Amino acid sequence: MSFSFFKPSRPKTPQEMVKSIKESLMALDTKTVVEVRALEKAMEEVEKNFVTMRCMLIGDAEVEPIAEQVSQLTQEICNECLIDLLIHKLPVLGWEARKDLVNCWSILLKQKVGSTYCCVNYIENHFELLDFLVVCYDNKEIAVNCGNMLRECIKFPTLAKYILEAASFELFFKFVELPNFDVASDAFSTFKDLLTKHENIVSDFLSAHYDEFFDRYEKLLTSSNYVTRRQSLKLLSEFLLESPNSQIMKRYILEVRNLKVMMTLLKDSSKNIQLSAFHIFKVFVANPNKPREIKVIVAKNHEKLLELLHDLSPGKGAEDEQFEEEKELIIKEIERVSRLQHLTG
Amino acid sequence: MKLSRLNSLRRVQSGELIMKFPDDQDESKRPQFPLDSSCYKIIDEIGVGVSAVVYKAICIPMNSAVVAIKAIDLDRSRADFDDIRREAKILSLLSHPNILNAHCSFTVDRRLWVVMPFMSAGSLQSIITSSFPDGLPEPCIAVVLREILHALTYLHDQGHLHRDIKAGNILMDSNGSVKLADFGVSASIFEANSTQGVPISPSSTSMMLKEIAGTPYWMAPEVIHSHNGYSLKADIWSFGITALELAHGRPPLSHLPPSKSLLLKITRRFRFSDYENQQNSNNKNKFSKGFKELVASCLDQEPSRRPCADKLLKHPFFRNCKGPDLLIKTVLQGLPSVEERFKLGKLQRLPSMKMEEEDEEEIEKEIIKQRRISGWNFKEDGLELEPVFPGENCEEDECSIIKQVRFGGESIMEKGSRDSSECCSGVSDLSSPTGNGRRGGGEAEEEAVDRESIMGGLVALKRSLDEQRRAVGSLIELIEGEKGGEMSREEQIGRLMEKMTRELENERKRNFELEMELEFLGLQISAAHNTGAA
Repeated sequence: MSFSFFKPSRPKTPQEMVKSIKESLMALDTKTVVEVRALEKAMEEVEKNFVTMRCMLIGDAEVEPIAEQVSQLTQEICNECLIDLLIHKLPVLGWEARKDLVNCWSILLKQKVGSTYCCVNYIENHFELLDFLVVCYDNKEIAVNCGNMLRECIKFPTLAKYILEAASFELFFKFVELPNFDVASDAFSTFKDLLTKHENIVSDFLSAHYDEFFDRYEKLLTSSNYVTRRQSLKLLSEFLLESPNSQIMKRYILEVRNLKVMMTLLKDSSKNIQLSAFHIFKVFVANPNKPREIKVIVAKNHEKLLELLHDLSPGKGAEDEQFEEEKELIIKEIERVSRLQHLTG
Repeated sequence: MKLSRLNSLRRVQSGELIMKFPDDQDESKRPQFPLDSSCYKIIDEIGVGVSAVVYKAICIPMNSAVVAIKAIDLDRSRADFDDIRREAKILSLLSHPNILNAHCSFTVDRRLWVVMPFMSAGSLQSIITSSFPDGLPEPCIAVVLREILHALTYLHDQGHLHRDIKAGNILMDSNGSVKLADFGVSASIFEANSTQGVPISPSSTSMMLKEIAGTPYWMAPEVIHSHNGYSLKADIWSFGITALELAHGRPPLSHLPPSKSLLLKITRRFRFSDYENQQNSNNKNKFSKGFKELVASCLDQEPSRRPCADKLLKHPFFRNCKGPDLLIKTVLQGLPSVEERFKLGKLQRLPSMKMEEEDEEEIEKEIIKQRRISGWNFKEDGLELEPVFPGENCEEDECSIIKQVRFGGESIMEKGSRDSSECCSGVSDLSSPTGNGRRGGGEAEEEAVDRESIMGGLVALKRSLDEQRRAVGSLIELIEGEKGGEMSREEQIGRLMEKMTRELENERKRNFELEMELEFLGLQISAAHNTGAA
């Protein structure tokens, strides 16, 4: 058995391994915090089991994993509902055990048994597990582990769709501004994956929840936190300017409030933010069907805008030319709009 | 392997077991550093780079514990935060006594503050510069190397490459403990291939990275020519270079600006023997056989022949290795404080413009330049490493013959001609399309140098020179344009001047180097011409 780890012994079959992982995880419940020794022992047992699981799934310096065993283990984990236990016990696991679990997680999800991803199927029938993982961002000890596991899940469209539409998605707008940079930036990576990995799902989601999503997003763009402003602005151009989202984009650039946000960012004290803002601002101006209100704002602010644009330059690199070209076009268009009598008069 | 892994886990866990219960227990055991800049009081500046400053500070609510704060200017970092995010992510998943971890990190306006333990003795590079200009004594090197190998074993076992191992990234504390720091360019081999979805073990050679990263002098040949990819063994090469750095007080070649070394290469063609004599009398018997062997095995041109970190730990060189006390006694005694060294260094840096200055952005440009070195030959005997420049293969063979005559058949080149032909096979010269023409290794066909392709090379060189000039020009512009900020006016101007002077100096060196290369190529043409005529 596993306590004779240092002696050569018959390797466990996948079935035996799942059984002993399950037992060792359950054992954590029966011990209370008072029984320090017993708890340590139980934890050690879990850790040993996870190392063996990791070894079977990923191999180590000497052993390559055996495909058939990987497949059997995956199947057995689903059959025995071990996934529930693994996720729910994550907060009480030790540091190395959590990491081993994260490493195993990506293999397990990607593992096909027959023609199906059986772990993904399992989660599809137990979506609450995803909510659990999202909420874990609030616990900074395990936030980064959960983040890794979530991003593995988000690679699968059905799981990404669920998280986007779940109530817990709202939490990300809070997580990305957490003071702890490790956690906040990890949450942002996950947030970004959610909004960029599956274009069509994102597009459907944005159409269905347009107002509430952009209300929240505006708060990120106008945040007092430099990192939040810069990252959210960059991300906005990444998903808004994608072709499946063109309808969303068309809607977005008709709204005066959005233009105002971009104009504010255009005069941000950070040059990086100014440049990113330009790439969205230009769409408002270049839009051939600008509504009257947009034109009015552009016309009223044309002097300030032109001044800002003249000073704006990426300064280095090959994108220079394209940028200058675009800038010229936008400047011309602003000048044209500002000359329209009926707007300023 | 399994055993050693488990043991290293034990080492970690003896301190980690307490952390098991996230809510109440560990909160009291592991200090939680505040995420608020007003809780810290900055005492002194102890390091500076292009986009980051390192401070010594105290954390007031934590009994005024001394910490180091790396303040990274996020607005200076390019397009995305990906690199910074990656560093934070990798570090947050590592825990080892020989790896410097952050207490916490948070943003202060446009800066990211990374709060770390203060390693009072500073980096090995700064220790060497200030007190051991000719290198550390061998027993001390052993202690440092062993500690770093512990860190590397752990790191590699987790599937991470450090990618920037050098004395400047090895820090020491007052108790003699040694930690590997700066994971700014480290990478995970799991992530590089994650899209394939195939479970692969960390040792597997199929996991390859292609991105060029690191600091040129320490970079493995396969990283410089990254078209074929590289893996964990690239760190072993840098480890070998670091060993040389500790032994000689500088990494190979750095005592000569790149241009000068090229000049030497050219002169060696004519007066090779004088140079050789001088080299050997200095260092020949300074180091033990075990040390030479260890370094030689790390600097094998073929990555797969380099031993892995945990195998290196079993090398006889470490058999009688002392504990950290030795470092306290030999290295730390009488050492000026980090702050003093930094101030002193700042003064010296201005006029001399040493290459050891680590500027992330500058290094990126350096990399392109350094690619022209096509490989390295390690001479175990003198414990020196020499670059092989593209196109001098035949000459290399010549040298080994000369040496064999001189030293009575004693082979100085580690593995003779096999190496010299092998290390030249990777010639893929970024700046010169003639790379193909020179790929012939040490074979005779090399004699027939194609005049046209050489001319093409010269033109390409000129172009790259112009390009570099433009890049520097725009950089100067950028710096000039960057007004305002928290610094005092004088300080700001001082820094600007420092930076611009440094840029200028580098540019001048680059120009010189390129001119030398032009001349070198010119020599080659005439040589080829002569042989053709003969």
